[in-house]
Amino acid sequence: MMRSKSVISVSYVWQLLDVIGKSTTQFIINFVELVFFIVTVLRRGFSFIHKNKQNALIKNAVVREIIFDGVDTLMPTIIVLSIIIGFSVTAQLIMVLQTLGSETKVVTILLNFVTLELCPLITAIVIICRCGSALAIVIGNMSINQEVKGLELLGIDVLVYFAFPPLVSKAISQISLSVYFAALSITLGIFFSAIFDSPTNLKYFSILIDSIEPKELLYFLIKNMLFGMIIGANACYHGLHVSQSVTEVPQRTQKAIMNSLLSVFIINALFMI
Amino acid sequence: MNDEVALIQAVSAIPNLDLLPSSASLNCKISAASLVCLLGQQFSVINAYMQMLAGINEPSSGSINYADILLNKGENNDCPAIAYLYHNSALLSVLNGIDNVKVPAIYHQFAANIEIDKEAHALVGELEYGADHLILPAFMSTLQRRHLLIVRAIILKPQVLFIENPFTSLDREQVRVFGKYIASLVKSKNITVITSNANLDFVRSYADKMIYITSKNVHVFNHWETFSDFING
Repeated sequence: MMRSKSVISVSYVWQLLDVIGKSTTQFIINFVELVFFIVTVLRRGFSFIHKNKQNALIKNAVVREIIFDGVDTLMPTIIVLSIIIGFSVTAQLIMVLQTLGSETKVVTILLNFVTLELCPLITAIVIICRCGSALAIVIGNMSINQEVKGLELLGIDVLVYFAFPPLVSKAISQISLSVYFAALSITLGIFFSAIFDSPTNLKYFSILIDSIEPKELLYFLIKNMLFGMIIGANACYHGLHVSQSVTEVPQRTQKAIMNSLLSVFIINALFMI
Repeated sequence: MNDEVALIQAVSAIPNLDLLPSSASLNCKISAASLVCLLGQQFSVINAYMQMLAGINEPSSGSINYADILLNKGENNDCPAIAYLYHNSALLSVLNGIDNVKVPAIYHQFAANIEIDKEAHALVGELEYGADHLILPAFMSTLQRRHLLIVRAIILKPQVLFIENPFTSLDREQVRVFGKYIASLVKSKNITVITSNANLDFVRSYADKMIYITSKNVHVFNHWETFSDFING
């Protein structure tokens, strides 16, 4: 009896390992395909812009996407979230940490945790939910309705027309929204801590500004740029892979959202290493 | 019809039909500025021949030869010399009618933006049926969408235009108006139009060449009368 139970549990473990192995392999394959997709889109996009310097079609599309992703998301989503993070995280951190350590440690933790980790992650999640999903649905529906194929037959490079603008605009939007988010949540957090704890907490403004190093700024920019590109690429890649049925649209959208979230967290983890 | 220049020549060409019944070889010459109709009982088979002629699918045997002027146009302007409209081709749902028409021309930098705009308005104005072209395709009639699809293709000035089943879902009056418009492309713009359709009124009135495709044979007719005699047995 005991022996049969142990045999069953061993087989379950093997099945579990099998599932985990297959999922991991699939994720790695998807990730590699996505990297190739990003490289191809960027190469073709920049080559098109380089060849056709007077052509405003793609540049206008990038600007339109930035307005949709960046400007429209700023009001009110990012502002409301930065007020909430400022109050619930930054202000609390300042009040708790200054009782435990020096000013420098408080600033270091604020900078590393809120500015470099939390704000880019929350911004990426907002962009995935708000813009990534919408983009995957729009492109997926266009693929089903043969709108994409119609343009392809007219000699239009689908990757340049449909994928390049979202990739670039999502990267720009992610960087700019993250900057707004970080600046607002830190500023408001210091204000809240000054109101609810002590007005002397306003000193953290000057200390924080002095302690930001160019290396950290570069790290912040590169990370956000990768986040934005991976979100745009996932949405376009899955949207363009919708082929026949309407039921593929929600399936591909789910994949785009899940893969974007996983990719963003993995990139974030890699940057920590 | 200009018989001197054969734009496309099919020599014992058989399309690649994986799931369709075995088909016969096609031998024909298609001249510049002519209207060719492909007819038969199975649209899937006819469209396979169309796609083979357009170079979308390679023939399983035989060859399709294109005239030098056709190939050179494609190379020089980076614009396709052959335009192909599937029966389910659609306009971009996120752009209005005029913008849809302008997209390929702007992409290929066919002319300055102002000129493209003028050209687009001139082309959409050719079919007079009082439609607003500044609305999204979802709010357009089937005729308007079909018309704009053709305009979007011909704004790049192709030499050959393939249209799969152009009259599907159109009523009798719309077929008449649209058929007249398609025929006018041959005369006014010197475009070779190759179309698959089952509308014999259109074929009788405008076709310069009829290709009748069955599962065993392909018959090519240069006159309506001979085609009509063949059909009537």
